[in-house]
Amino acid sequence: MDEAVTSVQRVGDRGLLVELPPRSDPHRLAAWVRDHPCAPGLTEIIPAARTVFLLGDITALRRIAQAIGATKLPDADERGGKTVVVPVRYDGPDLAAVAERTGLSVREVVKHHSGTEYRVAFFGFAPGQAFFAELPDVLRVPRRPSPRVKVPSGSLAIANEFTVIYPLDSPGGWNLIGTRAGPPLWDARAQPPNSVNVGDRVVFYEVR
Amino acid sequence: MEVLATGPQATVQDGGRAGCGHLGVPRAGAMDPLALAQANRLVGNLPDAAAIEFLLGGLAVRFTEPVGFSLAGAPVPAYLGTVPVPRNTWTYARAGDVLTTGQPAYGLWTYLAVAGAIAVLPVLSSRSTDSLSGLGPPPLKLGDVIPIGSCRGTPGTPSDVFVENASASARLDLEIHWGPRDDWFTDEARRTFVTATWLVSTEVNRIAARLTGPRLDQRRHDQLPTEGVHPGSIQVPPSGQPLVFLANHPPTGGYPVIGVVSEPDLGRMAQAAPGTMVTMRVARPRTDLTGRARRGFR
Repeated sequence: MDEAVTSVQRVGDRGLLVELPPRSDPHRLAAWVRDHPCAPGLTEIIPAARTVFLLGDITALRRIAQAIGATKLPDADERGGKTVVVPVRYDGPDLAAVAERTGLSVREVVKHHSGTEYRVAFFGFAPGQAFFAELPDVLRVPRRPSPRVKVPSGSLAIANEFTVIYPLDSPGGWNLIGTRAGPPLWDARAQPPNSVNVGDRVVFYEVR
Repeated sequence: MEVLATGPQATVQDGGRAGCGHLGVPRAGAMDPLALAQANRLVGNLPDAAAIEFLLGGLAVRFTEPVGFSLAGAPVPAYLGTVPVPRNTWTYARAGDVLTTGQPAYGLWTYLAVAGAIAVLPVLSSRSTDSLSGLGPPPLKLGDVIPIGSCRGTPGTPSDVFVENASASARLDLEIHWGPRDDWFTDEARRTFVTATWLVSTEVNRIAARLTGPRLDQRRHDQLPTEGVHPGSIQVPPSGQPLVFLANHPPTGGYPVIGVVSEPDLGRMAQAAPGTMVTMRVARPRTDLTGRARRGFR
């Protein structure tokens, strides 16, 4: 791994937050941590947008922190992910607000959103909630000023550089632009429960 | 074991669903792990075994087979038939016996453990009800019949002193560690955070407890990229009112975390009823794991 980490910070009693520079891939670092001899001492390895958060035994954390600081991290293998086509309807309640905020027409918002191939960047917030990265710059809007108490499962939403599909009914502050029109991407009873993996590619196909 | 009454909320909880945070799966598990372990130890189970966690008393069950049980956590009055049942010891129930519980004198969460443990089907290697995402068994309801495991240990009442998280005190002093995002706050907000007396609001559940008090202002107004969070993280949304992440917190969060509650104090926070006054005490300064002085430490 060519880029150095920005900071390694201890969190709480048994956490470590490793921060990476923008444009770097926290998943390559997470994969490196999973292969480290001290990994069995960790209970969680959570890569996110710019960070990898580790939770575990303090000795394991100390060794890994030292290793991250001292080692030139190896290049991760280029893993060829699959491409998943996800049918959606662009019928979300925030579609007009997003159009207004971005200065685009509703059709242009749909065209930009469905005309992009996204990368599955990480899972977070709720089980199976995959964050799809590489939202076109023109669609980048902040989260809503106050979150909704209940966002229905299957809602397609955007905020900042990500787009997501809510896997369950949950509270949420993202801008809702549509709904999933196909089978869910997460099913806790299925083995494995997730039908997309980090590194896969996702394209949204508009169903009218 | 058959459920006759649940009180405000009764769920199955064990040590939690570890290791799936990267897929967005919360840990869940007992709000007061010390009380869960105590209840299990009394009936000869492993400390993390599945038991029934119930909020503010009111649970009633009929035992359908003879079994040893125990109650730990928030002190509820309890009766087996008409006979009072002491807390923090084990009691033998015959088939057909009915256990009823009243409201706790203080604290929120009580644990009913049975010898052999609760044997509902595990989901992603835990039997815990996940209140955030709905994984695991649904909350208990009237008429549920709960399977009990057949693998029995040796019940016994330990004679050693044990620590309880539920407390009758109206004040709670929490030990916290700064960060990881305390540098997102103004100096004034950091000072306020550790000098103010906070009040546990009525917005308390298995996911988080909201504290009310003075507003904590941020120095930065850009959005923090979502990142993994430690149990006990104290997140501050733009409202400026802190939120303490409890057992069922989401594995990642998008608001800056000003500090993290020390693990031994987290169960005490979870047991604190709305209206409890909370003060923060900063843990001894330390260096980070690479030996450098910790960034952002003041």
